[in-house]
Amino acid sequence: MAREYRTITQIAGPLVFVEKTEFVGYNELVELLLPNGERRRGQVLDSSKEVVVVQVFEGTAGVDRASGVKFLGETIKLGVSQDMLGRILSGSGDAIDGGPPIIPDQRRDITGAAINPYARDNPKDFIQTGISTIDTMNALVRGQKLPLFSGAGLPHNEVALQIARQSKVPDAVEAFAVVFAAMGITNEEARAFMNDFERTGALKRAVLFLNLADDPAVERLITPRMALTAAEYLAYEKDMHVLVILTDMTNYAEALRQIGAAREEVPGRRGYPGYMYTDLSTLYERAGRIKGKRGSITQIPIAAIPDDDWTHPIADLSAYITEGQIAISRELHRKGIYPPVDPLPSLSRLMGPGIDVKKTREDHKQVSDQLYAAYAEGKDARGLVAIVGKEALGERDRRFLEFADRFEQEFIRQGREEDRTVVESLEIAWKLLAGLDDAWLTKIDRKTLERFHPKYRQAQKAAA
Amino acid sequence: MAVSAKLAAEAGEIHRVAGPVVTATGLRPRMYDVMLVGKEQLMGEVIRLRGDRTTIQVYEDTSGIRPGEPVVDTKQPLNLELGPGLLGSIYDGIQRPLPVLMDKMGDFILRGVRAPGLDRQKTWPFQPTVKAGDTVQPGQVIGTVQEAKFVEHRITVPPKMSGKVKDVKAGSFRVDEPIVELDTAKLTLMQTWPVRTPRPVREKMMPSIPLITGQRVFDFLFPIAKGGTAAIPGGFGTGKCVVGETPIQMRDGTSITAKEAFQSARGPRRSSNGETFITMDRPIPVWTLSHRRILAGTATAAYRGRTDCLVELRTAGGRELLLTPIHRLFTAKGEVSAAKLAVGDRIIVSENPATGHAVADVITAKHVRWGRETVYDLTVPGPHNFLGGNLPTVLHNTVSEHQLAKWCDAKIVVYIGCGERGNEMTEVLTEFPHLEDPQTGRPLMERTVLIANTSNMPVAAREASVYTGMTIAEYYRDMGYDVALMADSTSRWAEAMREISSRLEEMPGEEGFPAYLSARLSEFYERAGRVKTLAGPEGSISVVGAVSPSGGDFSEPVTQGTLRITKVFWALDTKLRERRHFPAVNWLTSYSLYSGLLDPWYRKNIGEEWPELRAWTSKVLQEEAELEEIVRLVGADALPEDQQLTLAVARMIREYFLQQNAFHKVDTFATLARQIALIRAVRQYFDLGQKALKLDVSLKDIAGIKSRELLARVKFEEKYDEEIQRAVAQMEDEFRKLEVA
Repeated sequence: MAREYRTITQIAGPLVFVEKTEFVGYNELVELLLPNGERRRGQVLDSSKEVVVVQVFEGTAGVDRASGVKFLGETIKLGVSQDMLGRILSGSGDAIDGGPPIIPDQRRDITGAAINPYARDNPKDFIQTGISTIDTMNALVRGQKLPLFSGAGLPHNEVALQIARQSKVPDAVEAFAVVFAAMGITNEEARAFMNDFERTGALKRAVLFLNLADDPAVERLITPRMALTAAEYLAYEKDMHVLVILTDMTNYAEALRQIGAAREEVPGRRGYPGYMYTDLSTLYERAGRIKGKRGSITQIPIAAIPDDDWTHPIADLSAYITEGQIAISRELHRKGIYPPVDPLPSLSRLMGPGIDVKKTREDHKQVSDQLYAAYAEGKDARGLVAIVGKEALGERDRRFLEFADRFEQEFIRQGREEDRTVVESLEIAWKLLAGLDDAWLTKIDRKTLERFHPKYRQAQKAAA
Repeated sequence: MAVSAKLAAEAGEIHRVAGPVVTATGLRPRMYDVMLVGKEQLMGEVIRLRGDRTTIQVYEDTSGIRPGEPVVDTKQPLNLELGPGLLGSIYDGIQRPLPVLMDKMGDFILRGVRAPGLDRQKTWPFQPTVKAGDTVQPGQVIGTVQEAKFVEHRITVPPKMSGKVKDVKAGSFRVDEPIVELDTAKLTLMQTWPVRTPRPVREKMMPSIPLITGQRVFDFLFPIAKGGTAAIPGGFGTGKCVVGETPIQMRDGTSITAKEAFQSARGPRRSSNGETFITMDRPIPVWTLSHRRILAGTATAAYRGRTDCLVELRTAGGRELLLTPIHRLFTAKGEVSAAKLAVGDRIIVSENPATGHAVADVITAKHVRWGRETVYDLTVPGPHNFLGGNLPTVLHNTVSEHQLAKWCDAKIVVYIGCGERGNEMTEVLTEFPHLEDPQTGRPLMERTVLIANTSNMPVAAREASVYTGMTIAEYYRDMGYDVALMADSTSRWAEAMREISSRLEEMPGEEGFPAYLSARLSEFYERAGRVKTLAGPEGSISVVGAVSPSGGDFSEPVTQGTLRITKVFWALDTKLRERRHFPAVNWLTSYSLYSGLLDPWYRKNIGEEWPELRAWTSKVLQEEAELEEIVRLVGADALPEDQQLTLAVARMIREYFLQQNAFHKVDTFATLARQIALIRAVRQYFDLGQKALKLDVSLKDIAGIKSRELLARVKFEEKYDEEIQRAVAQMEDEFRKLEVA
């Protein structure tokens, strides 16, 4: 039985300093006993012979010097089992849906170890999300981590939900699960997620970890780790393909900053700790596939980036770790276009291997490149119009301008329930590209052009 | 590493654990010696000694480690095992083979597992080249092992060792068996070397041979030399330093030199490795240029540093400027780095600050000057704080790096994935073994060493990983080979240093990075170079380092520190990526300072006109940038036809020549002969087009000739050489017809 100490000498923010203890292990789990009988949990952040620094997950409100501290001799673990599916848990892993406690099949360390790069398998299975801009131009693959970069007031949660709802891998046999971790989102947002999960029946194959806006901020540091631990169990022990949605990473980063400040660390950019990159990587890098395992973990973290500033450390550091990003655009949203995914700043670094001939269609890569180039040129033309007026545009600029407008209305825009197959998306793309001269379609080779361009196909049909 | 009872008996005790930094007492170790920490004997390195306290950076996760546990001093620095078997290996940051770790502990990297860098069981057939009675010198080859089909591993006498050969064995041996006995020592196939110490060479040489990459934009426009250094950052760089005599115009009408400004600056100063940065107590009022207007500004900080390369410019107006290559000047087309400016370019200079007008001056001469110089800079916030810029987050520098690794003509490739993404590292790990080496037809992996320390692996091992890679590169260089080393990304390495520094509670320098950051960066890049090895033959290490400035802020210390050292700058550009122009290397902002040094080689080996064609290509691309400003205002149709032709040709250069598809089986690699053939054809189109314009042929007809389409697709053709001849022949024919009509 662990000894209880009553030697707290200092409390600062979420940190408690305890002296004259036995030798305590780094990262060890701690239990605090408040005078009113309440129990709280914490973790050792710094351990020396003289003083131990404990970070308290549920906050230090009500903790006093007389509170008891117990060191539990182990790092934080989560009890996992397949029965977690369909359950709603708190940010620290306790059942909060009124159901029975989860009887663990295993207890896993939530920190997780790094996957040996040599044991990783190449992510290459195309996931069809049913959203044209993603499937065609920024394809998601199994084992990828692809964040949604968004801003306040944009419908990123709706997009994430639509992805979670519609995602499928053509011809997949393994079971599919969603692990959802909410960090500091509002009750209302969490409701929307839960309602949608319930409405579509997705809840029975989902695990929800909820740390809401009014829950302790420090708990946000363990919520995603809990979620990823559950995901690893489902993926690597139960052969499931797991989609992990983490929202909102901005709140997570803020919790990290709060701890840093409380420890009086030297702050890095904008006050975030210098180790935030390493810290974020220990979350994001838990996505992936492992050779010889049938399951996989795909991550969609969501970050509402302050002031839409992509140079903000949260966006910046995330993008250095994740394999691209999906940009939710304020401009498109203002135009009333849903889903407001702007393909130009979006990027999927793993798209290449995901879209070879067998998995989608052979024209996919070329069509994607051409759409990028044409939309970029069309947007340039739009910039020109602002300066010189539409009349002054040349033929080429005018046609590209028209392409950009139609592209937004017909390709980017789609219904909230509209689940397009990748072939349907490609067909829409060809319809739009047909509005441009063949000679302008420099990203598409002749053979592909003749095979898929509506003009030639009609001619072939006519000939046949 | 087995721990002897003697060492274990002298063990100290852990006092404090905070993340990867552990403090111990009761030890008397040397700096950077390896320690085994805790009951699980986690590996770590001594990074600070203070009183009885020893601070250790631990390469593995320290969860659960407690004060009071033992710490054993191995009395050895972090050593690498160098010998046959390195090639084809995949190591973590401290030379533990990842496949062995996987065998030992499964799919995840747990801790407390050690594995020797070289396989102790495998035997290698050894062919001695010395005999008993010979005297051998440091670095001398004593025999060979066929390590891979096309790589002969030369076993050398370790540096600092020499003697008379007493006995030589031939046959198959394990790496730790003695093969040659000297009167002073027994030599094995394997030697060890401390990672943080550069291996000695006889002499450093000028880089005058190109490292051929098969990537047109690199080889043709921005070449790197064998033994050279290059940086691939995301976006545009600054780093604007001038030599001491450069006058700075004050607002009171007087002027002082940069050196005087620095010397008179008073305030808190930070210094390291010959660099000093003073935050001025009394900012000085100066004039600055912003958007072609001269504005009043205030210099708030002064800087003094060193460079070993300067660009000297002379102008028609009699100005002489000496600048660091990345110092940007204002020109008609915006800010351009000094390295990029060419004779004939107009730079904008301040004539009379009081009127607020700027005038243009034409560059009449440009030289690159090598040799150490002291340089100065003043920081002017506002118009001149180069914050922001492009978004590095969305840049695709790894594709370019992988392409370089695959195709460059170095004998050995060392690839360091330092804090890289796990999935991208996997791409490298799974792709390399399947890649066919264009030089030998064998798997590329046979001449590659991969170091993989992904971002979530322990931070201290990430810090060590670049040294591990460099030491392996030096070992092969010492055999007389050309080695290419790619480090992706050095920013992640610097961040590892910062993280450890902050755990040590060291006084932070700029942006929390330790004050010794730039010293470490230059020490690292200094290990590159073309050298005469100890035994005499030539070898080289070319380094390509990726930097990823956070927030796209190029004034951040890692980027600045790197750009001051590297000679080639391949600027990746978000806009190009959005247009699917790959490799997304911006042709206006990139530069190479090796072009001049390499031109004699190109002339001799590829074609006399190489330098001239390159100059022409750059000129057309620059003209395009200037013309585009006009087009933006008045439309392309308003331009005279010859300028419209220039625009069309620039587009051809960009689309037919610069764009290269890494995933296309033919286009992925272009020989220098093919590169010059293609650009020559584009040049010919330009010349024929101009001639035709003079004969009143309409631009529409010139643009409409069919052979242009052939030329556009020639880079994808298996029968490239025939196709290009066909395209050129048809082009000549079509122009002839146009002229007749």
